[in-house]
Amino acid sequence: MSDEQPTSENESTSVARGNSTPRRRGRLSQIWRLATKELKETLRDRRTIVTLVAMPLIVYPLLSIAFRTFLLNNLGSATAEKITYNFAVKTDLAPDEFQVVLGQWSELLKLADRQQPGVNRPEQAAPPDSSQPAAKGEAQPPAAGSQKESALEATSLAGQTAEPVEVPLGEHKWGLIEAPDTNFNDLLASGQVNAVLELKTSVSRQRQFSEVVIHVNEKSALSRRAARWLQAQYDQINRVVLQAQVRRSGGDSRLAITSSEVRASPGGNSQVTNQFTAIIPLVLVLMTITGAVYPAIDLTAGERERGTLETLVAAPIPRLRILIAKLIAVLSVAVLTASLNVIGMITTIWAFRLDTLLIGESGLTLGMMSKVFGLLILFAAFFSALLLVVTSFARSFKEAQAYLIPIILLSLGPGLMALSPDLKLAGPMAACPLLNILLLARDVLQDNVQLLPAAVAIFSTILYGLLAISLAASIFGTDNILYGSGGSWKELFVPPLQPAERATPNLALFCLLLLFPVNFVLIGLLGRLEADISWRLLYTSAFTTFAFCLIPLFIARYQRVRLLPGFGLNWPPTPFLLAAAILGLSLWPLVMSLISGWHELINLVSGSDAGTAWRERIVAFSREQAEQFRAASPWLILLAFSLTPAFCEEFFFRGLLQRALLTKRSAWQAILFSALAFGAFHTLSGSVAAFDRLIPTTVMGLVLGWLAFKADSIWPGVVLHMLHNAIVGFLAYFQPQLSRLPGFPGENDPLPLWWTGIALAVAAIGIWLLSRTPRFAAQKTSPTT
Amino acid sequence: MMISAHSLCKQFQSDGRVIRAVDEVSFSVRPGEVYGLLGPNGAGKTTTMRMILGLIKPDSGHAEIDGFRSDRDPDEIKRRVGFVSASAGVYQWLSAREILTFFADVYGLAPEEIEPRISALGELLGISPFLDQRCATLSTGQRQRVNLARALVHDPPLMIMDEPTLGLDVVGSQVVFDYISLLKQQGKAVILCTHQLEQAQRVCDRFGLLFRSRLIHEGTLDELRTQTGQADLVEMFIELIKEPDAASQPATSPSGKP
Repeated sequence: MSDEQPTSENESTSVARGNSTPRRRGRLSQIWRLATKELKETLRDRRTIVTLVAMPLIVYPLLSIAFRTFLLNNLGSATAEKITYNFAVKTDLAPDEFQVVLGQWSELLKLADRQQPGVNRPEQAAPPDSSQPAAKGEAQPPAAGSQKESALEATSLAGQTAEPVEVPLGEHKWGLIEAPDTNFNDLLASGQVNAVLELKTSVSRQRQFSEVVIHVNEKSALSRRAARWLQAQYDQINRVVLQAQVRRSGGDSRLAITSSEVRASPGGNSQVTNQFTAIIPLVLVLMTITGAVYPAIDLTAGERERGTLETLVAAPIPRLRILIAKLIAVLSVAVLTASLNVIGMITTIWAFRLDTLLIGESGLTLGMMSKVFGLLILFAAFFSALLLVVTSFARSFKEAQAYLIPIILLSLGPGLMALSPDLKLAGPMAACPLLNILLLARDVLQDNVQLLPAAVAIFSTILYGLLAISLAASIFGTDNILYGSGGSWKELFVPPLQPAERATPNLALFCLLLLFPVNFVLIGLLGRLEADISWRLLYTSAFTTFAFCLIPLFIARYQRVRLLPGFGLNWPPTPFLLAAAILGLSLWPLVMSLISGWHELINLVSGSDAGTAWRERIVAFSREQAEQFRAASPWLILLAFSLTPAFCEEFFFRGLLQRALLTKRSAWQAILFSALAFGAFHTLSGSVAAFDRLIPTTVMGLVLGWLAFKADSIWPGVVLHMLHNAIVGFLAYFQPQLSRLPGFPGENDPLPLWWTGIALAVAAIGIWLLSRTPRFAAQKTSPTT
Repeated sequence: MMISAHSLCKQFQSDGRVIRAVDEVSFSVRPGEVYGLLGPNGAGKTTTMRMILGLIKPDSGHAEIDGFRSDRDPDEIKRRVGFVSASAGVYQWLSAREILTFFADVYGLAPEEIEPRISALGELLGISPFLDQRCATLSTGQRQRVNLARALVHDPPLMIMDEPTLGLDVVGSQVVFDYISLLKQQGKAVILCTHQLEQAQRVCDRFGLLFRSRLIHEGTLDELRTQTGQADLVEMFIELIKEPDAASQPATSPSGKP
């Protein structure tokens, strides 16, 4: 929100310069030229070049050495323990029959080992398509005793041979699959079972296995090892049987030669994820941050320190444009750093053959890396904007550095969290800055991306970036920063000399940014409280009041914003209240249709029934919630879901925020921004259904914003909001009673079309009434001078 | 075309105290006139100039150039003003030519106008020899001349000069004052703030004496002589500072120099 007045850009006024008039040029081309200058300045600076080039050159080789050492140590200790695999067996044999088979196999393996010790070493037996074991084994002289039975030698992930671990066949867990329609893939994907052994018995030769199939989860290293080991054992058994058969024709035909094969499980969502994959995006993100920090400080605080900021602010360009140019410059350096780092990393990974280790069998593909790179650019844009906010605030290089250190340390937290393989990109995680991009990048590398959380992650990052850049524009080059001398914290919190009719956009945005984490913490707190449902509802009300009412009220009063005009608490003319009531009664079927439409859209885009599945999940979730709430009094439901949010949210979003924005921005910009903020807050509130709320809540925000703008008061919005929430809440609360009424849809049924039709007609009356009521001005705005 | 300041007021807060930096300052400057805004340190000169340019928002009052008001069309004001201050720096990693091209572009000059304009300014201010040198390598005097060229690149009708000769040697200052005379001949209005009173006496047509945030005397040198009974500016200043009751407000400028 720059202080510049937007009017002047568009006017073609002639300046008394005699020979020429200023030309009106495109904003984009001007931003481009501004950015070119910033880039020139940054890229000629050797300090930029140092972080840009030297860092990847030094960091990656060092990192890879450290990483290999760490891994080898780690694996060494891991393989010293015994590894027991969980095998599931699918067979027609009865459990006791299978035990017999297993016993026979163990005996045969002992025999094989006495004949050819070392044959079943994995480096020979490993690949299923390799024909090495038999051929080599045959040639070796028998040596008895010295070798232990059926030894398993683990191959370290890095390709080196580590210490052997001996586990006889019988010590592994063998579970028989009893249900005939069990899905192997689910078993494998869940990680309960390392490999599935499928023994097919032929009908004609009842005592012989016609086919032996080993099912493996390719995504899990443990599963691959288990399968490889089993395959080697089976090859051994076959070989011994073959020799025995050659020696004496006859014998137990069940042990006759059967070809075995390993089949990869196509199960997409492997939960046994590679814990190291997240390191790749983490390192890239940290390096990108490193690249962006210096130019961000230099182009803001540095410019102020060198005395060039004043001349720039004295020029007739909007501050937002200067800032966007600076953002482009910082982003370019960050992306350049990122590119060099990606190149450095790929080279390192290939040179040290770390790819299968870090990512899995499929290795590093170009497609993956370009997706990760795309995410990196998105993240760099967001983080550069964030850096510019902080550095715009600083008056000197030193001050900026002091501000940035905590920010960087703070970003290490989510960075380290992302390394935990159990952490999934879902719910609030998808909206947590930095963490969401890291998790998404990890999922991309594991080829395991879920559409909805990915969309939340990308959308929220864009949103944070936009918020940051607008905040930066409102701080950058203000006289306080330009000429403020002290730098003491007191200055930032000094209330103004004169009371103000409305909050400044700065103050409102500050409030918005503050409320975001507060809201998150309060939602988390609510989840942890152990209280019965009635208390829970009371807490919900109290928290909503605290966050959206008391905090904004306190901040605004401290900054001497007057209550009535600042929050739009003046009583409006009756037609607005009437229109609000009509809309409050009629909008809910339309909101529900919007949500259904959204699910249909998901179906359409994904080309599957993902939207329907999602809908079912939400219905189930809502049913469960409604069930809980029915234990509480309906009055509490009214309080927690209707009265409190209606007043508090209007108080902040349409009151403080929208009215503050209206002082500097056009009506539609202010309404749109407050509606988006309103939608984003509801989306990011962390519930399962949250993502569904974005579009309907933003649309509601637009209606409420328009209403508040026209009435110059938040009261009509409070009425609309209250009625709407009360209806939606009570529909769920009284669902069992209501569904007994004739013609009432069940909870899974869509709303009858004629209901939507009537609602549309009534809502249209409300909109019509609102649009023909002239805009009301509660007070004449006081003269600005 | 008239440049005027109307009842500019500005207060600052410092350590809980309210300090009046500029109090009801009004004056006007005609084209072709050099107006010397003079006064001791902390009198409010710099704050006044920054308010005219829109860098600081006045608590009340406004400046007006060519019918545009600083509180309504700040960009139109900025477009018509060239601003030179002692604190203005140059971009270390850019050459003088690049800086001038950049600002010419920012002020909306057509690309084909830019080169001739830079050559002309280079000749005029004697910066042609080092136009393509990186600014970090220039001396203080050379940098100040680059800054002067930067302020003039869009050929503004009004120049606001806040101690343009600070840190310059005799020759350097002379170049600046010669150039101010030239601007006057070209019909430009100049607001000059300086502590070099003898030079000011030579180039300025009218003066405004700021003391403790108020404009206490205004007029030509002769008019000031009559008002104060002193022969020249230096004596007027000494007399002013001695008088304890010249103004009742505390004279400090919390805005200070950046």
